[in-house]
Amino acid sequence: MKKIVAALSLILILTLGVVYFFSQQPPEILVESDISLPLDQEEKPTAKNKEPLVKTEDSKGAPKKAAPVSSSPKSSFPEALSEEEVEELDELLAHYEEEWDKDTKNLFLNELKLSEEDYEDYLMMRDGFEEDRVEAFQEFHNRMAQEKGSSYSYSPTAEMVENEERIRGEYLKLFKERYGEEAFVKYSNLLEGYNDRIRREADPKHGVLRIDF
Amino acid sequence: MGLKSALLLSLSLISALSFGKPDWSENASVPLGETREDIYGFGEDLPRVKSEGYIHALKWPVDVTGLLVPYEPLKFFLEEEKNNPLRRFIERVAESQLGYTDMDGMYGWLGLNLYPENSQVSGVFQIPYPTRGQKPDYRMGASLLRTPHSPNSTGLTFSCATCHSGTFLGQTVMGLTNKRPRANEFFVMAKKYIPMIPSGFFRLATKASYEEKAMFKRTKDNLKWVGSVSPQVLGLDTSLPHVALSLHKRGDDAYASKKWSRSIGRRPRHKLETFVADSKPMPWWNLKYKTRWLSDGSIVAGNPILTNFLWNEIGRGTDLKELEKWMQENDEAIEKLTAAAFATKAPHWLDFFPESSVDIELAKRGEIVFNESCKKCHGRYEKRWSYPMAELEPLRVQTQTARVFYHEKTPVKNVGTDPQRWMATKTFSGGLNKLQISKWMKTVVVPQEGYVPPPLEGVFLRYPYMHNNSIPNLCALMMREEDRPKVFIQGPSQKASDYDRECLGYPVGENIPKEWHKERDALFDTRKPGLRNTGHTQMFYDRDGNPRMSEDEKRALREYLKLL
Repeated sequence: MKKIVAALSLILILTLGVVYFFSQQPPEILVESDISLPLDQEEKPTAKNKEPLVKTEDSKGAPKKAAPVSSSPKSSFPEALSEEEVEELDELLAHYEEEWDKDTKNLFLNELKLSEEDYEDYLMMRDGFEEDRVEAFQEFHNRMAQEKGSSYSYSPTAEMVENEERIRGEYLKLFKERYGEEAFVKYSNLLEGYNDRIRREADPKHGVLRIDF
Repeated sequence: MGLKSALLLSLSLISALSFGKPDWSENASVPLGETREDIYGFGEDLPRVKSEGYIHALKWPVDVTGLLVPYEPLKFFLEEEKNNPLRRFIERVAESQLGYTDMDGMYGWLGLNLYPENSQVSGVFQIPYPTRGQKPDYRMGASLLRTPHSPNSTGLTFSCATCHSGTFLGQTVMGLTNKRPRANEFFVMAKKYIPMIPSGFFRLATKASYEEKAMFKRTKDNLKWVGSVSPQVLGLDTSLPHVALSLHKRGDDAYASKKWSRSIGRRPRHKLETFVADSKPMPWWNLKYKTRWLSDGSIVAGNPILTNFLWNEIGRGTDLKELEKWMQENDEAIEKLTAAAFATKAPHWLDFFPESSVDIELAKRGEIVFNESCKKCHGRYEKRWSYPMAELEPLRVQTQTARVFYHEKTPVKNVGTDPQRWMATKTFSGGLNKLQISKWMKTVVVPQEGYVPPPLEGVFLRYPYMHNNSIPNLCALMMREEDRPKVFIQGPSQKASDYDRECLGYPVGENIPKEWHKERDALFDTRKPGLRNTGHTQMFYDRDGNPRMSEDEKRALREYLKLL
């Protein structure tokens, strides 16, 4: 899956939806979710390791595979997606990604009359956003595991949301400084319009997708 | 005094001497005619310790420091990728091209001095290389560190030598105040731009490793606790407001923790955001004569090197518990650096100029004038020319200062110079004194009214004069306030025309080298707040404005001063 997936969030809108993530030990760490999202097992990054912290193709807010829900004592949690459903979701993400790529390229090159370089800088920002978001999430997980032991459960917290918004805010600010106020307004309008469209087309049982950046 | 107490006193003196424990207390004194040049009593070992201490001055030893720039990514950003997206971003935000395209260009902009070509040169020019004998490919003050927070990555920070080494006529001198540093401006720029750069974007744009990215993020986080302000003019230093503003952002607890609270958010703006309190650092070779520190003498107790670490690290957003631990575990490095700073010698006129530039008879007449008018505040200087048979010695020996009779306890005087610097100390001394780390260090800040009249060794290359650099040379110093130059330029010191040998300082008026006018931030305007060139006139003029000295006497006085 292409890079854009990173900028796509699954908005977890099911009532009282809780997110489950698999982290270090997938069968043991319980992550509450309406849709199970696996984080690949990863190494602590080192100076030599230039690969992303997390294999982002699999963790950019949307899973390639559905992770099994563990035998949690809380029996009321929704079932994991079937393989077919995950594939379906994958295709959907790829489709939105492709479209968003086209739209942003058109905005930069045709509407804003910016250069290819400018557009490439934007793509780099998008990759950076994805990386920072995943890293912040990973840090949060590590801390939770340290505080609550290797097997823990939690609900999405204000802190997580705040973190996400802080990172998004940083990138939006970077965008505004880099391309100017006018470009920022046009870009924001495009983003908002695109997200509205996705929302309208969404199948509620899969949750709603949103492009963050 | 009874026999018993006399014995106790002499025992305690012996004990202090044998263990080399300096007296950093408020009661410390330096007997007249003596110095604390060998403050720990290293004896024959002092040259070796001094050299090792200088290494610490050249390479910032505090590895828990809060601000480190990932070195390789910075180098890559500046040198290897001219079309780098981060560069495009910064140039767009700064609305101008970066003034440099490589690391040396950046060091040059920062005002860092060049290492001498040979570390084995003698006398005041001896500066060791921090890179095992090989001349570093960076400038003095640039410090490349591996720290516990980032053991596999090199971070760049800046050391004492950034501000405490200077260039005079192209020669680098350790301990001389840097006349053209942009260290404070660097902080201002870092505060302005670094928070705008998200860590992921930084990593991708500079090809940084994850550890370097973490270093960048840590620096970015710590910058939130740093308050910075630009100096009014090149050559001045805003360390005092920098520390005050940084402390103002932190918690009220004993370690000034970096935890935001509503009460911090509700604090009014600190006065020093707008109140100018610029000054210049003092030369190191005066330390050995003094018992209190800073231009206003407000640090009345404690090792000034520890205070320097504390101030610097508050200004770098460092965790003070970590810093305290570092200080407790690194007493050897602290001791060596302290010993080196106190052992620093002032350069002599003849280190730079030929013997033909000295009129010894004129200087002797100047000595008489000095002892009548200046000695009371600045001390007495015993010249070798007053020794029996001195005329048989080479000129270099005759003109040496054999002993300095400064004050047993360093005084503070108010002679009408610009008061803003000493006034500013009042705004944050309380906050500093109540820190646990200050108590452990036994450092005490007491606001004063006035400034320390400094010892005058090496005064010929310490221009511009006064704590705020407001007087370009000694001719101007000896003028009435209204006749002193209102503006001058804080230029470099590379060639003969950069220095007025008669007036001992910057050339002024038509003698200012033309190329200096290009540097707008070097224009010193004494009409600005905090930069006033008032005061220090009573020794030259009486209350009615009548001169106390003839022009010949002033000339003789300058001839004497240049040989101190």
